[in-house]
Amino acid sequence: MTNSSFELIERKCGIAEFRLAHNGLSVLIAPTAVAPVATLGVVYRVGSKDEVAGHTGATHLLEHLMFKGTERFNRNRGTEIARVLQRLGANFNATTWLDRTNYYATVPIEHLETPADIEADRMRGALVRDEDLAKERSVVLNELDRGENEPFEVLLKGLFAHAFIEHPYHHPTIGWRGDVEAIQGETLRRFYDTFYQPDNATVIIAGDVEEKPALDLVMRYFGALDAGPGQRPQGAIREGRQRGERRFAVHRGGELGFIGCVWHIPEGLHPDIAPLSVAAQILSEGVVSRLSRRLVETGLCLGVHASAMESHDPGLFQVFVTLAPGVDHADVDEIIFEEVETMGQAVPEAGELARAKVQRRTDLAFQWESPARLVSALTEGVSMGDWRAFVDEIDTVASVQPEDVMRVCAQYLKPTNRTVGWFVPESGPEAGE
Amino acid sequence: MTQPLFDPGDRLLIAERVALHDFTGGGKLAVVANSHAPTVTIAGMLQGGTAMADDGRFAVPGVTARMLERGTNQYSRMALARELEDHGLQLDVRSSGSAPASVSFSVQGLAEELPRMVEILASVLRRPNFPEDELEKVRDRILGVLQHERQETSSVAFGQLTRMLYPVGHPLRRREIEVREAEVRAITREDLERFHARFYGGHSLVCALVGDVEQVDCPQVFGETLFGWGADSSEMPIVPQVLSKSPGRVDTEIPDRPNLDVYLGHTGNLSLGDADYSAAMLANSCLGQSTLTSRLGVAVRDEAGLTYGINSGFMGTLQIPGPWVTSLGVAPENLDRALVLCQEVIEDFLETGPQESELDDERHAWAGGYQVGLATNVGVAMELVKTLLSGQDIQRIDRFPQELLAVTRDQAMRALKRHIDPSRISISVAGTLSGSG
Repeated sequence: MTNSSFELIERKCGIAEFRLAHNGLSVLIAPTAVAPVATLGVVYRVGSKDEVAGHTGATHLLEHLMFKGTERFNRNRGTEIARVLQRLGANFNATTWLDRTNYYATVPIEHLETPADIEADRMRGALVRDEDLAKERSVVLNELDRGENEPFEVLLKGLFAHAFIEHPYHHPTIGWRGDVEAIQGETLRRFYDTFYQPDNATVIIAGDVEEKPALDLVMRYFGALDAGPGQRPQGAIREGRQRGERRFAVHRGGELGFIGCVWHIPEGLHPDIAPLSVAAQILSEGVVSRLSRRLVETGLCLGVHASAMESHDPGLFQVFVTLAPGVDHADVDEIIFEEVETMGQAVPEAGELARAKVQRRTDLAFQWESPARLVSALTEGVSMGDWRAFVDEIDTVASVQPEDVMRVCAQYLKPTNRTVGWFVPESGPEAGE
Repeated sequence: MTQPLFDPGDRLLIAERVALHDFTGGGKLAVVANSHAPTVTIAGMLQGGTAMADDGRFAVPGVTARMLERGTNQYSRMALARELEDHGLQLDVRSSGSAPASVSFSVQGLAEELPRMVEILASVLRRPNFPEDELEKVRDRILGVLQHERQETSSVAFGQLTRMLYPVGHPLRRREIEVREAEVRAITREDLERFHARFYGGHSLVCALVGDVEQVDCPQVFGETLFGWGADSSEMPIVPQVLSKSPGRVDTEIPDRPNLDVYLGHTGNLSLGDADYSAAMLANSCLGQSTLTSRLGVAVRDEAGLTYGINSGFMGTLQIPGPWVTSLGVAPENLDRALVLCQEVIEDFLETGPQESELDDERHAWAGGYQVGLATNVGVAMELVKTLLSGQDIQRIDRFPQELLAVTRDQAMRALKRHIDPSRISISVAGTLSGSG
């Protein structure tokens, strides 16, 4: 086969997008010759939002089972995937999130064929055996327990569960414990056959590669895969409009309190996301940010973080704080709300906007310095629905006006649209008094 | 047979791309130009870490390092933050975790900001003024973090293990939280000024600059600004002798923590630069470097399904050799099984050693992984600093993969027997143990 089987979709800012005509596989090539290494990633457009009640955690469990191998790559043959990649010195892993599952490996350039071989093989050839599920289930349950040790994770899980009532962002990516304990191999195999298909995947290659050999690589290993059935369930659930503040508290063992506040915002590709990201930076990025000055510099909190989620479906604007010992949750709540409300009442200062923009420009420059970070950024773009969101970001952020920031804050960060969660420590000085 | 698609080609060795500058008084600067991205990274270390506290007040070096960003003769805390954030710069200064006698620092930004980066770094390292009000803020923050640490199973378990391994007064012994709180409460501004004046200086400064710097006259930009200062001191840390102790086990109950964190380990004696360094690292890799493929990972995670993660390693091989430890997370009901299995695997491995095929996998894994680690400017900068700090020649960076590939099974076995001893392993567990056993 030749490269003529690839259809060029678009070139933008040094990145080229192709589609393999016969099976629908998308391909992104991003040459950056910073060092003689390259990262190959595969992102499947399936995440925990594609799970249904009773099967939560299926996407993540399947990701674990994908390392158990194929007919060619498995322990019995001494070729288990992790060992083969490890031997190359690869930095590899896989992650599952709301909208996507991704697999990646960064390797010395001369070894780039091996991750391509493995990823192509397990795209349709994974064994997904019941005996592997039995062992991996307890590994995942231990991973779930580790999350329960972390107040932040506990709070995050509660915030999504309360903010989303209808939409499947409601349930945690790792799944509800009862579902993880009960899920059957047949369910995972069905999930695999539905979503792990070339036309539901994008191969991303970044690093010290030129376009032609990179496409040859994709053709050599992914070219033999047939097109999948093409039909798969499309999530159509939209979260209903929130019409009043929601609140919850988790009382657990611990020493420090945490607060999380979230507001519904549009999907990642919506034009309002750029001004919301700038608002998040003005609120919490660096020592001079508004919430840092009000909460951290005054000793009320140990840390603060705000961000605008960039997801396929409408997401959440998030503010998290860690309280200093002895500080009341309610006092800090009020300051967060006050600062957020102020953002919607007056335009930010010119210096604040300029600072947010230069920080973004620098972040993007550092992403180009690392093939792994480049693949990661493109993965999130694909998962949102358009990889170009990554390369367009510098222009979209640069074009944000002070009025845009005020408008989106007034529009979305309203009391009736927010959910507030408290992590209240049960032991330690606060609860003991 | 198909032709390989990718060839690394003839590339310049890193050592050939390094411009090394020695400064009068002892400081060193290594520069590597890389114009593929418009960024620069400065990373470095200087003497002033925890191990330099010769009076047992180990909190003083850490607070000194934290206070460097809190105000200088040129900048107030807020003015410094503004200068950094207005130009997209990231500055980090802290007591080094990997080199206990050192403070590590880094500053990253766009290449056009290099002169500003150097000027800020010099101001922060050379001319801190330790404002009283900022000291109070730092003190409160550290006390808050220590409070948080009481509930962190991993910190609690590891801290307890170090107290089982190292005597009072040893810099690698993590003191009880109450002791650390008392030390932090007692620190004065004068303590910090004294410590800074005594130890900080260009004489111990090792620094790497990597990025888009081809057109920059680095000795001129860095020279007097960053290197020409400080005490002409060459004091070395005094480290109490570690006497061999009987192994023990301590369980620490922390309510409402369903995952137990477990550390098994003993004191170590492996330093970067030792003749058997590569052999020992490779032998340990076969045992526990990877949670997916090493002996411990295969037995405890993959086959028994008892843990999400298990690893073993030498914790610190610069300046003061750290302990060798195995760490894992486990549910209370699986604790006993996991501990028995770990000890069986370790003992069996010590008895039989790695198979040639395992060792060969790890040789290649390390050699390739080393190359991957040098894929970013910050990766190259950190490796240069480590090499300079350990007193090795720069060529080591290019030579190291070959050294790894040349390690024989006999060398690995000897290193294994020398550096890992199952009979000396102590155990520390933290979490909600009420369901275990």
